[in-house]
Amino acid sequence: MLEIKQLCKTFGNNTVLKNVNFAVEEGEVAVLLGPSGSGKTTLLRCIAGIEKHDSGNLIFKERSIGLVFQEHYLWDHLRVLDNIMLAPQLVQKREKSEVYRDTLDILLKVRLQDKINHYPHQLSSGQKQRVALARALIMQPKLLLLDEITSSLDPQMIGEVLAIVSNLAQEGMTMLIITHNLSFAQKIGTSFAYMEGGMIIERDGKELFLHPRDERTQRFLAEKIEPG
Amino acid sequence: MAYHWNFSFLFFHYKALLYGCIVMLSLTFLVILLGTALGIILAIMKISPLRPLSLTSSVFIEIFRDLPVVVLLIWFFYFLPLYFNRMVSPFVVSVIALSLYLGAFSAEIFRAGFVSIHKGQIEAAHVLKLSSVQTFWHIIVPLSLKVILPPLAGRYIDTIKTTSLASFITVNELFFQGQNIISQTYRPLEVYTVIGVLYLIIILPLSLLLQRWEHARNKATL
Ligand SMILES: Nc1ncnc2c1ncn2[C@@H]1O[C@H](COP(=O)(O)OP(=O)(O)O)[C@@H](O)[C@H]1O
Ligand SMILES: [Mg+2]
Repeated sequence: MLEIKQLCKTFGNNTVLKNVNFAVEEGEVAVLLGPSGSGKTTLLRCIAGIEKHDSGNLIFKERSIGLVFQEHYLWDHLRVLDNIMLAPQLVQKREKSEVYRDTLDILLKVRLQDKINHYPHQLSSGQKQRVALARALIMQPKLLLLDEITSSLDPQMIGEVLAIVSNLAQEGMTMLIITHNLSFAQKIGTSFAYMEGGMIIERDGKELFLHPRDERTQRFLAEKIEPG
Repeated sequence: MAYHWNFSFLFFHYKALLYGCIVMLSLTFLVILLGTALGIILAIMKISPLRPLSLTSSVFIEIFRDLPVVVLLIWFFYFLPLYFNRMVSPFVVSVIALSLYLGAFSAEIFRAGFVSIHKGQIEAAHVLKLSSVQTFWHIIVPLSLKVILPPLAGRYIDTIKTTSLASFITVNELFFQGQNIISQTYRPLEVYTVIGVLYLIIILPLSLLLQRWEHARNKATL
């Protein structure tokens, strides 16, 4: 579904992505692990088209990609309803009544049906992030990219957001997820990649956690699993 | 005070005053329209990553902000007829000069508003495939309005006042009409009092409206 070949990206003289090869198949929940600064976000931004890569190929046949950032980046001037309804009407030129019906469905999914007329500043961080998910889902993305979407949430809100992601995975949504939450990753991921220094070091199924081959992956996992 | 106030003669001149008001308001309207459009364009140029565009905009803004309005008006009054090699009505000259002036000042206001928006909110629009024009009108403008509107409305009110300077180049707006009446009646104090009151009648409601609006908006987003 998504294929990345020899992708390179440089900021000034900082080479952030070095010949990245990667692929995501339909129905897959791919998890991208790696220390901060390893280029994970940049890779996602290239896939989503907000960052232009310098060289290499990025092949994605389906046109619709959804991306949710670490911060929710909701539009403050619009109610929850309008945050979600804006893009399908403007971009996909869909009928307002039809979009409205879909929005209600999706709000039910993210359990925010009672917040429809609220403004973002009236919501908790977890609720905002769920609206951000709804805003991506209304576009019926074929691939959903999630970049540490629980990293800036208050701890008690993390569960409610992850529950929705789990549901999406069960429904068969193809996703590429960056997360530092290893237990969550293991729970919903179907494939795992470890990234460091702008390179994909290794890629595997759940095996990656049990028998990491590369010693950099081993070190990363050891630190994550047994902190301190 | 021994002065004997007498306003009754002004009834004979009410048409001239009314006409002055109409000229002032149409001048204001056109200047706000053109000046705002110019301000938005200059602001976009200034934040553009293209160096020649941002530089041109900066130089333009600096020049028109630094010159006194009267100098601008008089300079264009002499320059435009020469440049086009034909008569240019003083009204048109004032529209152009005052729009450039407002454009330069509002450009800074728009720029500050646009850069106040978090980049992520624009990127979110980009990911959802909104076009640049859609992003501009549906996201950037409404989001920056909170930052833009108070100083911009202040500028607009200032523009109403500034139109009085067009009298320097014989535009028959309110202030000019007043001077005409004075030259016939020799009662400057009454005439200027009435003109002052007329300005207040126009500006005061706008000013109060702005204050109420700001108040409501601050409450809504706290
Ligand atoms: N817009 C940018 N301009 C310059 N450098 C950037 C930019 N975005 C990311 N970088 C650099 O790229 C590197 C990788 O960043 P990032 O992709 O955010 O890593 P990760 O998400 O794995 O923490 C970092 O060194 C960061 O400083
Ligand atoms: Mg990151």
